[in-house]
Amino acid sequence: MPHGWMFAVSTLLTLGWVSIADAKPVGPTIFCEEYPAAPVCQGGAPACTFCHTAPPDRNPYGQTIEASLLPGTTRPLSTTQYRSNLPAALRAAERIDADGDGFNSGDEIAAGTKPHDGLSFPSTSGCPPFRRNPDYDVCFYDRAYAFRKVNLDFCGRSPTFEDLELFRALGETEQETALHARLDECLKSENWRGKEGVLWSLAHRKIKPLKAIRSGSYPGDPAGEIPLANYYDDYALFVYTQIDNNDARHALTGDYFVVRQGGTSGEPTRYVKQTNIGFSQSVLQNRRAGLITTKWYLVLNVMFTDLPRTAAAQAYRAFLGMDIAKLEGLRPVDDEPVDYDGKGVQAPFCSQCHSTLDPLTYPFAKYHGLTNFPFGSYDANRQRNVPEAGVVLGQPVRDLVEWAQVAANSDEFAKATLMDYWKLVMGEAPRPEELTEFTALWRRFKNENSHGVERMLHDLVRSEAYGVP
Amino acid sequence: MMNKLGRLNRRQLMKSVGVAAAGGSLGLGSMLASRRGLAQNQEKKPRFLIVIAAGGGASIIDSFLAIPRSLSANPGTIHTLPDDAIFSPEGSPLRAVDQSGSEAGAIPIAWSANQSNFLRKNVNDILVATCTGTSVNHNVAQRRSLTGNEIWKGRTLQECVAAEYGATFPVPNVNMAGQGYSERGYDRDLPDFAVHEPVAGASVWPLGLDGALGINDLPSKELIVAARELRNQRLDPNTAFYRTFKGSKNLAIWEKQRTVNQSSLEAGELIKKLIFLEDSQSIPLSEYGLTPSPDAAAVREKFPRYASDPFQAQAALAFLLLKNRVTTTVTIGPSFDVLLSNGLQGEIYNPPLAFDYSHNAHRASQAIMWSRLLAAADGLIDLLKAQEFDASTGESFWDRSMIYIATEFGRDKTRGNNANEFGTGHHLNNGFAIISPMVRGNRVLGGVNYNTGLTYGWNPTTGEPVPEEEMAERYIFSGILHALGVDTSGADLPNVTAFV
Amino acid sequence: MFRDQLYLHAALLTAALGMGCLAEPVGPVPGADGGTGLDGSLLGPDGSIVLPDGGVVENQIPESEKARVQFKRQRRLRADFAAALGFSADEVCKELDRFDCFVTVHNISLGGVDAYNLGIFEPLEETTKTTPIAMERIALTGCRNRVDLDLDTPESALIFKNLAMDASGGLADVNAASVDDAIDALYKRFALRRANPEEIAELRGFYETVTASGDTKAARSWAILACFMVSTSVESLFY
Repeated sequence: MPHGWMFAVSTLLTLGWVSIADAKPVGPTIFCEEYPAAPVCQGGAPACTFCHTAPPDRNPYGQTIEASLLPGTTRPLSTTQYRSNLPAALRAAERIDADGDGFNSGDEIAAGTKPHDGLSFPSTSGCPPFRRNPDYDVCFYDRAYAFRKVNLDFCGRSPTFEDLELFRALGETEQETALHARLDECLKSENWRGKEGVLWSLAHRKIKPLKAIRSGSYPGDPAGEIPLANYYDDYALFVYTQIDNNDARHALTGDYFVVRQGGTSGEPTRYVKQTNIGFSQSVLQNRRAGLITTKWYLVLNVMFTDLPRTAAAQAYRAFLGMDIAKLEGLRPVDDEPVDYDGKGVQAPFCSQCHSTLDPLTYPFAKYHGLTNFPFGSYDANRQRNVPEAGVVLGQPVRDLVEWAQVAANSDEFAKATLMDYWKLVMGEAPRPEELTEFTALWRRFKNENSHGVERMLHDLVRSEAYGVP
Repeated sequence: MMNKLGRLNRRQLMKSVGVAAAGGSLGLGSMLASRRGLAQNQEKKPRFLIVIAAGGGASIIDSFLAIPRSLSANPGTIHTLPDDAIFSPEGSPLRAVDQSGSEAGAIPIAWSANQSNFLRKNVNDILVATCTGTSVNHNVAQRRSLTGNEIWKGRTLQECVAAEYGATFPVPNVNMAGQGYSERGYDRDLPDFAVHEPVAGASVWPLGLDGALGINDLPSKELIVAARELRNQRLDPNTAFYRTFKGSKNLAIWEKQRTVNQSSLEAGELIKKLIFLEDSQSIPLSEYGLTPSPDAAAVREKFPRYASDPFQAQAALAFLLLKNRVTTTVTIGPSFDVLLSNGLQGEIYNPPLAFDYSHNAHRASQAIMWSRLLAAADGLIDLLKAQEFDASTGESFWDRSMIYIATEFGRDKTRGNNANEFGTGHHLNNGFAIISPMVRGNRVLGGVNYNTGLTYGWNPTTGEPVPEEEMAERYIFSGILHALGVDTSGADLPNVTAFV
Repeated sequence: MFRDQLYLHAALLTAALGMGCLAEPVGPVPGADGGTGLDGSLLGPDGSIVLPDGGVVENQIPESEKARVQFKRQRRLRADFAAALGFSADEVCKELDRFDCFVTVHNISLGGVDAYNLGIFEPLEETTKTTPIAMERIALTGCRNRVDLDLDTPESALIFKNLAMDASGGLADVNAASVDDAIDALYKRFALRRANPEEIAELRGFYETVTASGDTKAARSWAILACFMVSTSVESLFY
């Protein structure tokens, strides 16, 4: 690629003036102070959409709160008025069936369902059954069902009839062993870890590839027409962090790269860790933070932007499971936003998101996207007027490396990692009645499992959510 | 599941009713039930919405609201254009920009772009309504341009139109765009027929509209239908799998899709009406019992790059979907992928990242992309004008159609002093172009401040400019639905009658 | 006419059950315990629930409360169809004998993604209006190819083995064990279980429908459509 092609190929997803009138970021915090045991408060506060549709508009549950919140008092309420009176309004609202589904909001909050959504309501379990289903053990863990599912979820294909028959013929203990042995086998398969495999696909949303600007040519797979950075490095690093019980946090904290080898002519795909990777990456080791400082990530998300809010918002969304554009994960920082780039983000409607987003972004401002060939490098002098220190999840950090460590060690990271796999195998987010099991699983992932994804997957397969048809 | 007394509780009853209504009982009754309640709209004469998704930020001051240099007090620093590059029909507030260049940013390919031909031809159908959006995040802003910032329970415009007019159409809502432009709305009360059908490859998608046509050496269609009936009515329902999981939402959806929807799609032999590929040696349709649509030649003539340019293929399919009354609303849009006709020796069909290439080369990107979009719109208008919709009234399809050029946001209004080419960031302030005989055209709702490049607002009922105000997305949303005759009662939308 | 024919083979059910066509058990048969159900319900001898007022709820198996069923989606379907039909993945189905059905033509509606070009990073949550049609096209193409191979080269047949045919292209004996074996093989390959007697009788009975239609290659057509019905059953496509 000619050096002169330093054009702004940009998906500058800069989050700018998100208009939020009258939504109070303190609301979710107060809610969780009132309902600390509520499933929706486990591992984070609910999003603003728990009460709002698109702020300032409220959903049915939000409307019942609004009706009880200092009725007759002139709007907008001051923050003090709001903070002082919201708890009583919440208590008043919990007696009302806001969404008309037959359950009052208090019951729904306790059950983890959505009090504003008529299609979300507490489960009415029919177990134990009036008699045993001979084919699917609908109230108990069904190993044959789980065996078939493990094959499909992880190996990408059904077992054969004969395989399934052999499994059924085993005793209970042997079935348990065989089930997990098959899982291990699948986790080694090309379907799981190869190019375009399951893990690879899981990374799409985090990496957001675009063929037209991919660098790196391979047999039968030429570079894009305008090659800028090679996202295959990112896929390799991501997959590496998810296999062999490697520390999944390295997706955010890894100071190394990974090379993909094999994968053709029946040879299994291998991933080899390397400190450096030729010219395809630019950030020096002491400034690396896994997937959020690769050349691809910086080229795509920083580009030419002075204050790359997109880079921070995407990291928050992809690795911590919170989308600021959807009013999730707001943790306002006092005296923010400063508005270093003069975008007017101090306007009241804007500051409610930007008081979280801007300090989240500052550490990214020291990384070049497309502004300094060979692109995607660290530069302490970039954006001198912007501090390198920032705040993530309410915790001050001195730079992006520390940002990544705080993020990777958080509950939010553990929860988001499990959520990726949960949705992959269940086809949906946890149901209200599954939230207890979900919470136990991400806590184990973080603690007993030492952030090893494969250990977590064994736990997941053992769960009732997985194995009870 | 029964409770101890063997009675269904309220929830279970609701669930079983839901399954049956969705076709779970596999019979004709359920098929009819699913259409019941939709009949109320069957007599309403349809109107059609074509959304052209202008991904990346189509700046209205680079097209219909372009600012001639001579009119600005800050011509060198605000994004103005040379007077001689701007065309405006006499007495019209609308403008068009014709430009050319020797390169597009760092892409060393000469380009030429024309908007004036489109404006000349369609000026009386063009309405521009200014707007200041609420997000400069691509995905979020894309979605909000279609939902009016979620103003009607998160429904998209296309879903509203499909729900209003699409009950009897085989595929009421087809979406060929990507990213936020192809997202489904949030409203779960939306009739399921109004949910969009995604289309990735316009040229070959019609092959998926019949279970057997175009496959050689099969048993007769009658036998295939008989096999389906046996499967659906006797084999599947008696399996332990089905009986155990029959409460599944996904199975209920499937039952409806493979009965009601499939019958509806196959009944019209849509493959034969929608294929616009040429019967050729490389794609020998006739060898498979297929023939191109009777309109294929006309469509190919209008969109000659259909084979190499996916956007033109989308436009071709869009016309055929409307003309054959398959669809009430169709969404098309160029991708973010770079498309050159012949490497660096050819022509730039699509710059990388479409309008968003403005970060590097604002003028070239905007010029090339606007020209590209308007050419597609023009082709569609020509084709739709030539198709009679109602013999009794003499209406053409175009008389009942609207093209909405949706985009995320505008671009920065400033530039380096007198710079001919420059990069721009995202800017909330912008405006939307709506082209339709159903709107009062040759008008601008609001206007643009020539000295700042910023657009300003308008009165929602009179359309009079209101320089001190800006209009949010919901006004565009409401105005479009009003012009399309969609019943919005109960939606709590702002009253926007100024479009018509 | 054909609809009427469909019901003719109900009469064949009895015959099938009485003839002991299968040498082995054909999968689990719902029990009929009588006595008390697991939840304390009174059960009748056929497993029906006896209500306190003396009413009866007909025999049924307990449903899954979760009812969590997923469409297999593009990659798994491609692998499963290839394995079941004995083809490599890229041999299963090509539209116009040119465009891969799973990868090129029906990718998105089958729940695939197009990350690199279209920016579709995640599969659709639900099947679409065209998904069942896409699946039927794939099944018909794949089954046709399998049947033709099995009938043309019986010595290496995979599913339809030893089907005796008469001079007119029909099955010599629809009640032959080889017919039952073929049906059983289809269920094993696509549903991972043995065919039960009712299913065998239904599919065998469908041959009457085929012959009544005047089909000149009745055996071939029957085989293709038997394969089609099993491979596009919900049990084959969902899990």
